Amino acid sequence: MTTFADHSPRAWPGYFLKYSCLLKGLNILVAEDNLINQKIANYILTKQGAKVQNAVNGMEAVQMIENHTPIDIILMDLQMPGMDGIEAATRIRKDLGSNVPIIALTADLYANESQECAAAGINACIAKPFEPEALCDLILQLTGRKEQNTPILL
Amino acid sequence: MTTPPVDLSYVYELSGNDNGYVYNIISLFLESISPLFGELNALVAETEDYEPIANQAHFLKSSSMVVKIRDMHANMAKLESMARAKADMADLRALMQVVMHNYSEALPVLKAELEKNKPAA
Repeated sequence: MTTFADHSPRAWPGYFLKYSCLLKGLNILVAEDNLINQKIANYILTKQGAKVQNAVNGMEAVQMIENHTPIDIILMDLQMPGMDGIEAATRIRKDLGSNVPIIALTADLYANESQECAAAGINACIAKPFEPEALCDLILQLTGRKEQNTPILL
Repeated sequence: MTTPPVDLSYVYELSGNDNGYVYNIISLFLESISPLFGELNALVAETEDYEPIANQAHFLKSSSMVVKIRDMHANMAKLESMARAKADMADLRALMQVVMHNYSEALPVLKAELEKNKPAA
């Protein structure tokens, strides 16, 4: 029988998703062209009470911000076809003047990518596949719902 | 100890014992990601077009972190890196053979997992 005290690695993520609702009321844009990764992110975020919208490339993400779609935070894949995450973030910051927090989703963060992210105005990076708790914690920090108490990878 | 052909622990952990969710992820993988292995294999076997090979390898590398086919993430990272460096196509083709071998071993396991998690009618 699984109990609440069962914190084994296999039991914990599902437990976290089932019994928390940390992101209730947040509008989150997931810009990710890979359907599997998009579905994973959507699952984690909606289980936590967030409203999720999706874009499959950087241009769609930029257009949503340009059209004043209510978005509290963006999860942005770095490598997407057409317009990638770095260019989209740059446009959102420089052309649109938006300060919506942006988290980069990355498979491998190389040193030069980290610098590019910072230059593009990306607030934080998280490696895929992400742990639900780490992702939610980062979102809460960047949306001002929680004090920043853990290092952000940039 | 031999590594299993596919590791679905991340999907199972995330699902919190929701078989329907596991079914959906495997199903999505088989429908949308599986064909890309064949496409990448054809690109590597029949062309010397490095950029699409690198891009496809990157995409599959990203997918392989959820449905973890044996050595797929490392092999795709290597293939992407070799393609970006315009390495000898013979080396890319040799690596692609390993990728397709591992993929062919994972496929029946994935189909069995799909059946195991199939929602009751």
